[in-house]
Amino acid sequence: MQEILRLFPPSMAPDVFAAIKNRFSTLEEIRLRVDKPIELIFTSRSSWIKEVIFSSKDRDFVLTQLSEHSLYRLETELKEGFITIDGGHRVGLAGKVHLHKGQVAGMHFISSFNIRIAKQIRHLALDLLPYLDHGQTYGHTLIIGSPQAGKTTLLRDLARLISSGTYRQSGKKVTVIDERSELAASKDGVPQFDLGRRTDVLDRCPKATGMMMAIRSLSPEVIIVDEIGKKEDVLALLDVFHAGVSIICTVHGSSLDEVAKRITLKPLFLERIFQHYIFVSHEASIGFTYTIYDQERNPLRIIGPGVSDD
Amino acid sequence: MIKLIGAMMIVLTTTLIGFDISRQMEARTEELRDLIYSLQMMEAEMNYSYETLQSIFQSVGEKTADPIGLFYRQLARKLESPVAYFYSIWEQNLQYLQQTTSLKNEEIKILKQLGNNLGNHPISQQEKEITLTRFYLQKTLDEATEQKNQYVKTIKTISVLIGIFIVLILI
Repeated sequence: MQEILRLFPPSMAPDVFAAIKNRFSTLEEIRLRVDKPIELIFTSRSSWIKEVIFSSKDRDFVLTQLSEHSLYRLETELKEGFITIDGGHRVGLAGKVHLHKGQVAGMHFISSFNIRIAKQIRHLALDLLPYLDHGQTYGHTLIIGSPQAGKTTLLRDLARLISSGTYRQSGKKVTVIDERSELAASKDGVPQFDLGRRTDVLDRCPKATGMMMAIRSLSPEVIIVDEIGKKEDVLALLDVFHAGVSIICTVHGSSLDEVAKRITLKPLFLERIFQHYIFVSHEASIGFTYTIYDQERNPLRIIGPGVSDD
Repeated sequence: MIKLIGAMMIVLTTTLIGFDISRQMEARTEELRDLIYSLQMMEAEMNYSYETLQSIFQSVGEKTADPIGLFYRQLARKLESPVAYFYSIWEQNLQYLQQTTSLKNEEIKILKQLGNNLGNHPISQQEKEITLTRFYLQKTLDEATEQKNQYVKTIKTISVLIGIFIVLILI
């Protein structure tokens, strides 16, 4: 929590601290918008810190703290719209985007920050893993869920369990291609989250290139990527599927059928490449629920705290 | 005998004062030169390594002669723990720099100006700021060098002569 509080001006930090108090474990986002009060988003509800208005001066303060007094470093971050800070938390940015030759070249006059609290929930994927187990390997798996459903948190724990090994299988060599620096939350190339003992992370590497790089030089047994969606990603995936490496990846979507309809992803479904589909949903009062589908996209089983274990 | 010793002490004192003044002049040009080099290094590091100010200060400090090097290393040490306002520690350290070096108000002011902008701009802007600072410092260095070349010898000679002159008056 300290690494987040230090982003706020000294006059503001006590108020923020008081508002969060002991609810840090359920805190998901802190939203800062210029000339507006601060918004705190918890798992089940959101609240405002009405005592403080976030001024443009405070904005400058947060920005210098984010860059560690070195704004010149943030060229790429401003282009991508987020910054990863100590502790693996990510700060999303909004402001005036400026373009260069039709491409986003950076951002000026930042107006909003979205501080997403990163969490590592160990053993989250433990119940799920046996379904992906193919004896000596793991099956190709696609994880589906809407934003904030916990796809990334799940993927993180899968990486950790697969690479460190469980009582069923010894640890596998895992390469994580972390294009958005979210899975491992690397800082200066070193993962901030525990992704297991046999995991190598390609930080900030484009997924399509990264998968090829990994196969060429890192000899992985399992490749883990977050959020596929672009055409190149799909083409690269089609290539990699036949390289003898298990792939586990995630995609945004509110249901499996909806994802199957997306044009860019269609080739993956036509070839029936994935052997497992997992749909993740998250409800504050219940927790995580996973629906597991087989290769033919028939639901196999639902796992979650709200489901009785028979 | 006592008179002779007294006279010698007077001459010695004025001579030493003269030498000290000229030494300060020489030190100032030296320090200004180090400062300009260090800024050049800083700019290059910002451009190529994209490191934080903290680590740039550390590496520049290690490559620069003291007392300028010390100035950077102290800044680096202070930045190791989270700092709310960078400018306040920059100003503090400038004060210390002024006390421990021969730098004058003029260049301290230029550096203060730089501190206001350091780390607050994207790289292209940051480069311009540093280049501008270097330009100003170069100008003061040129003036200081000229002054030094003109006066150092004269001051040394005059200081001896003044000593002798005082002795002559007192006798």
